[in-house]
Amino acid sequence: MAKPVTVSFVDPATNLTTKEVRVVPDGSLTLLQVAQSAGLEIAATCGGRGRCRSCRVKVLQGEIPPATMQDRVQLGGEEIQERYRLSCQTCLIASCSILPAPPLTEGGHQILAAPNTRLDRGALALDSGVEKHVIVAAPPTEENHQTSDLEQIVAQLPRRVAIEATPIGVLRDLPETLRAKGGQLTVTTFLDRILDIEPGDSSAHKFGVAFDIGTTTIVASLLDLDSGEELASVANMNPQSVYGGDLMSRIAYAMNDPKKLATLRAKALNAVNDFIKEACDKAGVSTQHVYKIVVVGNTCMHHVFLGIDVSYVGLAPYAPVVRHPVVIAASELPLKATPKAVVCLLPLVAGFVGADTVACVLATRIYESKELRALVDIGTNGEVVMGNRDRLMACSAPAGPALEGAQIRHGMRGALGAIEKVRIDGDVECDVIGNVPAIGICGSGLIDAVARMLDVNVLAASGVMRHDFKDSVAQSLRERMTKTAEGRDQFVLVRKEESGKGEAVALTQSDIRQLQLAKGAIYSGILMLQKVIGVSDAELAELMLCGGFGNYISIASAVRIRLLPPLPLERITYFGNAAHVGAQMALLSETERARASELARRIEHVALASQPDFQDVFVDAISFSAPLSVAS
Amino acid sequence: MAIDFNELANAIVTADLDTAVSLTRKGVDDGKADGRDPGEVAKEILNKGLIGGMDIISELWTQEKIFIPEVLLSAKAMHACMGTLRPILEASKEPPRGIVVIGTVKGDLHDIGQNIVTMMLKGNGFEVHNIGPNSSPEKFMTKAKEVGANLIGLSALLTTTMPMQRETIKAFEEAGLLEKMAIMVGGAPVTSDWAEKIGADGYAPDAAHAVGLAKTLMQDLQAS
Repeated sequence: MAKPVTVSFVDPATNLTTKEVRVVPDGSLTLLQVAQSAGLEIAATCGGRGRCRSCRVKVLQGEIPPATMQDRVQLGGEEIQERYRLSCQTCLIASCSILPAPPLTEGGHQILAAPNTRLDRGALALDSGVEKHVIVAAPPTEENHQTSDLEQIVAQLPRRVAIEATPIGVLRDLPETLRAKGGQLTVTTFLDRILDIEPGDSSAHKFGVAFDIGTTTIVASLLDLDSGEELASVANMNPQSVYGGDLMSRIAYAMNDPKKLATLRAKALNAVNDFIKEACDKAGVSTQHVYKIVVVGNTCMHHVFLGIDVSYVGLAPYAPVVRHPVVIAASELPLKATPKAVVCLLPLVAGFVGADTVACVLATRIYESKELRALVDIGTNGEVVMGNRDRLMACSAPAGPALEGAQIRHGMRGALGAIEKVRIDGDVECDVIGNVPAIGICGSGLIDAVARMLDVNVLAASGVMRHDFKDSVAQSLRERMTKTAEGRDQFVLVRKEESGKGEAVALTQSDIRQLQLAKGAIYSGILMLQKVIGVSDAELAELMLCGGFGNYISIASAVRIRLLPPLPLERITYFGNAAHVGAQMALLSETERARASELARRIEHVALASQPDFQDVFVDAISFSAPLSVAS
Repeated sequence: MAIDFNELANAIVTADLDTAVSLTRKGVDDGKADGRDPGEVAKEILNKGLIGGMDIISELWTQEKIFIPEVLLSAKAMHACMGTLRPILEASKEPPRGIVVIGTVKGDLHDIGQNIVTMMLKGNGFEVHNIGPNSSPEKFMTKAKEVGANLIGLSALLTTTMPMQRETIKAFEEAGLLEKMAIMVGGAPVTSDWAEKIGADGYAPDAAHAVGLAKTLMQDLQAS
């Protein structure tokens, strides 16, 4: 008989796993049926007959069932390659993580955070460093041989503790604690620190929270430190965003102004406090029983969270104030929600290669790979890590916000009304988030559109729109090659009559140039590390996309526009939010947290701008086609 | 017989390096054969052929018809031709269109932008001293005094280093250098509002516009 498998569903609006069910695959049970039995409303407009695309899902993790004939008809080869399937036609075969195609709920931000990639707990030692010791201790009795309440308790502990470091709050409560429940006590320690002493037996309550504080979004999950199970998760926009969307403007805001730094810091601390409370509420656990908090973030987020001046991170040589792991009592920060906890920040590599990147390396385990692999986090400030068990190199590639839709005339974030996918087959077809009339285009749509425009010769490999050479373009597309009000060339994706905006949604020549600069920055980071390490495309065993944005782009389109190197498509994979997974690993396992420190020391930082041939590499990376003569 | 300058300009625009160099050499040789003054001949080739070509490049860039890679290739072809002309022009003491000191301000290591501006200015007859990235106000001033600069180009590619443009301008002002020199600023996060706010004489959004700006600033300097 078949064994039960786990199917988890990721909510496209929040990108968090919202449902998890265990079912026995019987060979005919479809993903749609599993979803519906879990109470998840995936629209099946045609009634589950494979006649429409409404129920399509993306299999993020797990063995993917083979494509059916209906998959080929409705989705086509490219979407199949990108792990999309019609859920009504696809039968469950193994454990998997499923992302229903947006939208489930309207207006949700796609790029809020990556799907909450499941932790591989099997490979993880559950050694969080937090221990609960249930003991019985008696108050002191002898006047001649003086002792103390604390010594009476410590004498019963099975491990050595730093007695001098006992928190003052614990001491203040101690007389009552010791005498409350007949001397039965639970002493909670983190390594050799006493975190709390409670009356009675609270050994079943031992929790921790893992945070990924990103420039744009903050993601947190509450885990049971004994079982490793995720009890709740929360994701939202980083409230610091009102003081600047990107990293550099955030640093510029706080530069040389302690008051403004304090403002940013308060935003971060409040958010972290609120997230902890919300997660604990959802899971029905007390914030008092959260003992360990692991935080990852880029150098700026890390420093601001600690209230450390970031002025010099913004100026060459962009050095961080501290790179080592920081372990600090929550009461010292202060994190009011969890006064007993200890907060662990993972180490940094450089000013623009932060603890988030270290966490990605930890999560993807490329440090133990024999073959050379690469991690790419596509974002406003992109990061690339490349290497194997012998050597690891990292660089940051500042792409700017074009891929988030900024600097693009009709650009927008991945929200309701955004074009997210583009096909050109005779004429242009766009998928719009929410199936409403399009009002703009988001990053994944932009990458798709440009790839297709190159395919149909609307765009030359140099990036120029071929309005002067319309003869080589199919008749049906020529009328879409128009001019902006300023007389600049543009290509209309959605005509005025069909748009939800009162004007056509188009890509202008200048949009193409902005995209070229952004993708050129990311690709030149990849090319530069390939150059420094001396690894050809053929020798790169795998390229993993980490982070929110990567999960939504079409790999084929990204390769087509040379945002990513020309690897066989199966060697480019989606990993999900690796930084958050790495934070969870360090939360559950001190072995992994120690590994993070070792990795941070091992990762060699490559400063792109100061590489002698960076300019040539960047100029090459701007183009949509590889140079004819490949420079060695 | 003089060469076809349009053909040379076209070779620069299409970045046909071999053709551009051989036409330049032929122009010099033909001039010699006709018994003309070598300095005059070189100046004519420079202005009508090479600068003519780079003018078209600037215009095409402004119209977004070409982009950085094509501009760099054309600049490379131009640079190769200058290898032939420079010794002759130097011997004839032909004055440059203007003398420029350019660099990226202190705290900023990005130099691609200023390198492209440097090439475009050189391609348009300016003498350009590129002092590179992470340059302090003192470094700018020392070089400016040393070469007798007319124009100073300050590049900043980071939001965090823009204030250094202001500091550098302040240093020039305090040293009393701004009477004979004009300052232009640029870089991805820089705007015309910012340029005005910090007292720069001009701002250009890209290298193509920087050439036009440099020409205008030179006229203003010569008029005053």
